[in-house]
Amino acid sequence: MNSLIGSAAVTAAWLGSGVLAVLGLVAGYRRSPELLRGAKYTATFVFAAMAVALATMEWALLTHDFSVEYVANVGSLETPPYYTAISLWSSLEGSILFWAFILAAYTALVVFVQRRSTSRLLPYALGVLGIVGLFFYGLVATVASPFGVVSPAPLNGPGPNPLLQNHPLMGLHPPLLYLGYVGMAVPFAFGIAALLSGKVDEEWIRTTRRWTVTPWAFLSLGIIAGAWWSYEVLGWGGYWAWDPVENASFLPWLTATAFLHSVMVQERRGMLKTWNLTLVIGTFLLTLFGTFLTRSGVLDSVHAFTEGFIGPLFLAFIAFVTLTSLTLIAWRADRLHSPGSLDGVISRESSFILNNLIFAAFTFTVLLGTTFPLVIEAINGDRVSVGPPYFNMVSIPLGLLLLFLMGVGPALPWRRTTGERLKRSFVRPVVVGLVVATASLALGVRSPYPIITFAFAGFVMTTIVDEFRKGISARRRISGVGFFRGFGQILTRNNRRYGGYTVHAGIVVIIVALAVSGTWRFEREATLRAGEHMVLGDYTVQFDSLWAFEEPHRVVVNSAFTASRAGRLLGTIEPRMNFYSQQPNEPIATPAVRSFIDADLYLTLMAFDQQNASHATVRVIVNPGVPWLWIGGMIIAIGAILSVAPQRHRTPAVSVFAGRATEVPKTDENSGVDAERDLEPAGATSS
Amino acid sequence: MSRVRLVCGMALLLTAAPLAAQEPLDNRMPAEDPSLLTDSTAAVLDGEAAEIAGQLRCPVCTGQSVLESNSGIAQEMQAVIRERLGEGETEEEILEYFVGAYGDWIILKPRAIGLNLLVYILPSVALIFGGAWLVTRIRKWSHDSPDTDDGQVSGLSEDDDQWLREAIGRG
Amino acid sequence: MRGRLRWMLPLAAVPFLGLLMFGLARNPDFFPTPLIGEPAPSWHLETLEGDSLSLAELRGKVVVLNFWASWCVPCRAEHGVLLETARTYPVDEVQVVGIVYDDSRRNAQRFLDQLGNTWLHVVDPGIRTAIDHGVHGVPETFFVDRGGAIGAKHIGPLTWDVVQANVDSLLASPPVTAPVP
Repeated sequence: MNSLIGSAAVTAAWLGSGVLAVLGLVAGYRRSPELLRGAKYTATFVFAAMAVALATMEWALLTHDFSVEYVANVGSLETPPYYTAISLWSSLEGSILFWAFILAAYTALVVFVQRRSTSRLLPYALGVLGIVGLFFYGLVATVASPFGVVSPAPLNGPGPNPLLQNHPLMGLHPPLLYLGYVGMAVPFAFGIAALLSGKVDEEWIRTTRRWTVTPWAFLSLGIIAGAWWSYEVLGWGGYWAWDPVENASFLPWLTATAFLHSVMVQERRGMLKTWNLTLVIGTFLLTLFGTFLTRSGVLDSVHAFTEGFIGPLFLAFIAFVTLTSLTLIAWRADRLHSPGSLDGVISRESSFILNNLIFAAFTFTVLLGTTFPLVIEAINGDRVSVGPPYFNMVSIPLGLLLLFLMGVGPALPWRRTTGERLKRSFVRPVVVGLVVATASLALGVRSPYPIITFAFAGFVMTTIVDEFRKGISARRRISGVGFFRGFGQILTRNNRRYGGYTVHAGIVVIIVALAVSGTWRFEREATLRAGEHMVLGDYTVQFDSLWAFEEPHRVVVNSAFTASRAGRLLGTIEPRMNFYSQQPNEPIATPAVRSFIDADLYLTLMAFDQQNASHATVRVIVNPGVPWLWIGGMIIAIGAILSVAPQRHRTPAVSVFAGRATEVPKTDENSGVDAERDLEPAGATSS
Repeated sequence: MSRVRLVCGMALLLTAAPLAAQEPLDNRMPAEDPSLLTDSTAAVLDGEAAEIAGQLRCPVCTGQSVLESNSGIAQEMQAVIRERLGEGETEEEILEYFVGAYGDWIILKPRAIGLNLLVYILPSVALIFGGAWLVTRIRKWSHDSPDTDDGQVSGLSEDDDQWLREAIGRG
Repeated sequence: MRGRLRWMLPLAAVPFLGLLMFGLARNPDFFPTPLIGEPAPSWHLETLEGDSLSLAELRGKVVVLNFWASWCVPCRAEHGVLLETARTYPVDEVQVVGIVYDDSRRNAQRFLDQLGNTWLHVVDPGIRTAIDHGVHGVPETFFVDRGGAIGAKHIGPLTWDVVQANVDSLLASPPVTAPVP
């Protein structure tokens, strides 16, 4: 029954998506409001169908309906309910179903948010989303269907992949990542809509600002949650390994971040039209490419496709999107040509353009490194590896350049600047940077990269604080409010800008945490008998005991260690080793992490005495800075929420320049026209 | 002791399990046959040994280095590194040994020879050409720019300027 | 960008798409070994029975060097092929040697008692010999020529065709390299 409902729902969504594609594109071409209305209804219908499909699958999982193929593959009676619910994305077919559902949800959300829009772009965008859906719902309905019927139904299943049911973060990381990945389809659809309609001005960019920031934030948090998950589960105390899977999520993040900045140049100056379209198309393609890469076994990966069809289909879709998009750009080349102009070489737009150059180079480098083994094998059949040592070597300098620009850009005014202004904006930050560098040297840091990182971080943080300070003091003078009210007011009244700065601050925190943990991490592995201890710097770790117990879905070997730091007792730390029935001889280590404000104490049980539980081998890692990676992630989340939050409507000013007040555009929640435009008349300092 | 019995019960569970995996037990089992097992206490990698292990790819893992992996073979490779360092071999010689056995695949950072040079050169080429192209564009753009006065509020201090704009913008 | 040339833009993506297509077609489990044609790494190990055996002693014979373990399922599958190999070729011309990979003597012996054993097996403490040979996992098999050089390598379970092709060609051809002193 569940199979039947699910299959019917995804098939309906698939067909509906075809209708949506046709209605949307024709409505756009004929400028027909009736057809557009039809497209909107269809999009809503598709969403409803996918919601039914998703609900059916969840229901089947939770009620252990093993007659449904996917449930038979990943479900088991012993798996706890939480992990059963999230096993929706523990395997390929479920992931694609979830993916397709999110696409349908975004499409319906576009219809809802733009319900009053009369834009020419909307029908085309819905049509494009329909085409994307045609592919994804088609996969779910056919070759990657999770709703196949197993007859007779087995009494129990194997349960999800142990690695994916070992930590609660698994419930967070994939949804965030998918919300980020799939969300990039919306700005892509509007970009293509701009090309199709020939309306290649700034409208599509204003319309999609929130549609870009939101998935960008989800993608960022998804990446961070993934790093956190590997840190908590994989047991080697690391959070980023430049694995193809990780690179696949990092690549669209890079292009999306570049896009977020370069659109501002187009919004203000009408420049970089082709570039912005390239970025938004590239971002979407990279999300597809990432899925293809990690799921097809093209690069060494544990998640290879089981069915032979999905890989080629994905590749065909990537080829279709790439060739169509590029052809559209070529077709509209005349309209896209914009007479760019820069007033001053040193200006915010220049810094954004430079930032985009570096982001592009970064993307190219990571893409090259990720696919390079394939290139070499295609050329001469050799196998090479490109791993962390390479990626660290190339990405640290690029990352540092970007960090530096993060401080420069926001402190530069649009259009042009003067030497006097430069001095005013940069003397303090530069001084702070130099002080930080000196302090690092004095504290014994000798490697150049950490010193440069800390100095740049000090520089950037100072510019951010200065921006806030300036904003707050202006508020205080206008409305005579106190510091905190002023702070609140700039956040609510110019949330896009200060949200952006908050995101910057979060990224600086993460970069510093990366540098700190990369520089000062240290570890030791030892086999201890009960009562024996080992010493690592400040920390003492003593092995107390070891025992095992059974849970329905696994056997847990639990060890207990007593730790202390600088003589202060920290209590018991219990790293575990979990043996799942699917792979009983590949236990999943579950490290135990004790976090402090400055560092993590990280214990992994590596081996144990099976006969009489008298000794255990433990890897102890002291990981300074790591807690701040997650704190930085939270700061990014706050900043992103701020920056997409609806802006408060402003009353036109009457006091100073009565004449100018009429120029102030009303901020429509959906138009994306930003307060900065009028807040910062051309040539202004960074107000 | 009940907990020991539990552990032993688990051992039974382990041995009775289907022998499905390509890999042996990750946790080194107790010394049933000491000659086949290494002493984990020795597995403390420091300085140079860790440096080398970090550059080698674990042959049985996905995307982990010999330093990070706790698989049996990675642990043994760490031991090999320590021994060879102890015998006075240099980093290059040890890497050479592993490349001799496993091929270039084992090195996580491609050696800068032959076609591999591409992965080192292309990013710089891209950056340099991109940068050069950008410089010409920026030149062109800044020449094309009509140098008009754009109503800049002048003669005010930055704070006043800021204040003024706020006042205009929001009242 | 604005001339006829712009229509060439989509072509820029073709090499990349071609690369991905190649990626789909390739076999990800194939690892070329640099050892082909090189002298086989020397070893001197103890057999399961406790005698000593070295590769040098086997010079003059073609050696089928098979890395295996009792916990490895494909090893079970290829065992018959090895039995066939040992039966087909005279032992003074072709010697099969099993190298026990990361396993205990007891389990290895039990495995052989179950499935049959007509050739030599050595234990490899600390899997050093396996590392010398660049072994990724078991089973892997090396075909060593009469002069002690590696003629071929096979990853994964053996089939009779693989054994026959490699052994026959090594038997037919002179040693690739001079015998290792």
